[in-house]
Amino acid sequence: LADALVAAELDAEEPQTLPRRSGLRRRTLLGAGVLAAAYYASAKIGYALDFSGPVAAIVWLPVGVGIAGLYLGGLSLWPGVVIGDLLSNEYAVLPFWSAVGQTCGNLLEVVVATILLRRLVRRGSPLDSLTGLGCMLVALAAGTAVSATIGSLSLLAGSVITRDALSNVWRTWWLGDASGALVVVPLALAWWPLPHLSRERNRARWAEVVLLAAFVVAAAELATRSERPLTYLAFPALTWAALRFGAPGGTLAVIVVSGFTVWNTTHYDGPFVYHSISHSVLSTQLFIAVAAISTLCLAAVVSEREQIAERLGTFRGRLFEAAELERRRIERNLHDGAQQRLVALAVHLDLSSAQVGDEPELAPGVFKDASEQLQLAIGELRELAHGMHPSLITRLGLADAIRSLASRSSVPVVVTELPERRLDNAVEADAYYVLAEAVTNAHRHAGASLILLNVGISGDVLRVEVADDGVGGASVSSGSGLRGLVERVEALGGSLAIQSPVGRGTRIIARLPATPARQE
Amino acid sequence: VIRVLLADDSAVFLAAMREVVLATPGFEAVAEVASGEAAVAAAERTQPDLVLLDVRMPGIGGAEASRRIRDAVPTAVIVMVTADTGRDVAEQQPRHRASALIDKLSIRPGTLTALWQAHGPG
Repeated sequence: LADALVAAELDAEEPQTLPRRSGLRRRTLLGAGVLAAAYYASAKIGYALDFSGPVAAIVWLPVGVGIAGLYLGGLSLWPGVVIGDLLSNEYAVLPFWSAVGQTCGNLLEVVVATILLRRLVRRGSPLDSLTGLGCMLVALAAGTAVSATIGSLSLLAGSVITRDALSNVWRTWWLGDASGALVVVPLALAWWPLPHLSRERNRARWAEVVLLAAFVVAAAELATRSERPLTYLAFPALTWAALRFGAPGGTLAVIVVSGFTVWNTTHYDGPFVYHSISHSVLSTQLFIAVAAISTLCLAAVVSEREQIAERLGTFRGRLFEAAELERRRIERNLHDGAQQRLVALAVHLDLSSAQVGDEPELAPGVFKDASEQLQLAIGELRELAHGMHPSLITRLGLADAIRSLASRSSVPVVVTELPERRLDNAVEADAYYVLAEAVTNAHRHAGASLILLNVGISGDVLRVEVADDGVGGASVSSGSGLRGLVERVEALGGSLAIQSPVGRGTRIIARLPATPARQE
Repeated sequence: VIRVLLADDSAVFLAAMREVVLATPGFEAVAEVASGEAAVAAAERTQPDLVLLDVRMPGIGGAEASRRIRDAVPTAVIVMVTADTGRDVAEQQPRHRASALIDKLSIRPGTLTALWQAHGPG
């Protein structure tokens, strides 16, 4: 088992972060020792808040300590759980094999929940999204079910309980372990590593912390000691904590409320005290579980909202940048294209007017020239307008838009591959933009005599390739439109590579996400 | 004969300038190039009397080409030409060490003669 656990551990961690073996062993030993101590201490707290008898605790905190320890410190700390459990088990009152079964169940529960948590939540903290939170609830529920099953069966085998009591014991065990995990695991995840408190320098924030702490304590005490309707007072306190202070605030408030709830109930005070002990235990456990889950959901939504706000801010910045680049691109294209042609035509016409005065028979030729130049300028303006208009690409589709681009080009263009299916409008527009800009650069700046276009979809990547036989030597830093291309492709989550050795042509390869066309 | 070097990356406008030089008595075009680097090389080779240099060109651009031609051929009259107007032009002026900066629209035989009279030797 030990080998399997270490193997799973190595599998889970990045290989390059592993320290040297002796250092690893020393740290594992230390970690396991700390975990055993924390496990034992939390078990003692649990016993102090327990109803009398060998039946499981209302809220069994050690399971949360164990899962948090293995999740944050690594699965190799598992001996810490065993030692902590052996130290805290009351072997005097249990048959030997029942106690052994319990310890095995407790170890397995912690390991199963940790592995599930790691497998289900691949990225980020489980507390930062509703999906992550859902996965965490599944992992904790499944892990604690293992312990409840093994534990109650070993009590039955040791004849500590009767067959009739089995389902009640199982339920109490499971809910006790699950509420313990629900209270401790999120608390540990939210506070390890310590959130940046140094940033919170402003006084109003600290005043709010003090006010909130007082409110949580007062509401928790009132809610769990007084008559029933006041029970609901716990929720505004929890809501406040989660809304304003996210997971760190929410989890802290939950453990305070849980503490008061268990303390008052075990001292026969408050709304959860009934004649039947198992009824009291059940209602206390349900209250704690509901309070914890609601608070965690709220904190997860707050965290999701903050992440989205941050992403929106970044996106807005990129959008401004892209708009500015687009403005500069249009300005440059106007300057290099139609503007030059029209200025040249004006100079030419002015020159010709003097000549035509002397030789009127030249007039038809002059007008014909002028008309041709004007038509070319109009063509360039149209092309620029097309380049800006995604509607054309939307209508034609990328493949036809590329054919049209190739047929309009003054430099021969060979198209070797075209996409076979339609993609999302934004992706098609960007792909076209890359092609149009690269083709323009090829004949305007690189002096190319042949351009190759290759656009294909493989899997979920759209590959856009433009190669020319021009002068080469293009780079992103040398100004030009390449910077704009890179920005635009990256804004869409793609990448752009440029190969342009001096004198040996330029090859531009853009990879864009091949988002499928939306079904209308 | 006044020997003129023409530099512009726009082939269309290069042709227009050639036409103007051709129509100006006493002037002839000795070289036509499409970049700043090529303009410097052509100036060293042909030792022109007058250089018409586009401001915006790929590579080192017109302003830097103007400085280098000024060093290579101190006697040349360098005239920057531009299709830009307003701010950009005003920003360029102090840095290019050319004799004059004119709008492309104003290039005429009369303009060339006037520029040569104003900035040429004697």
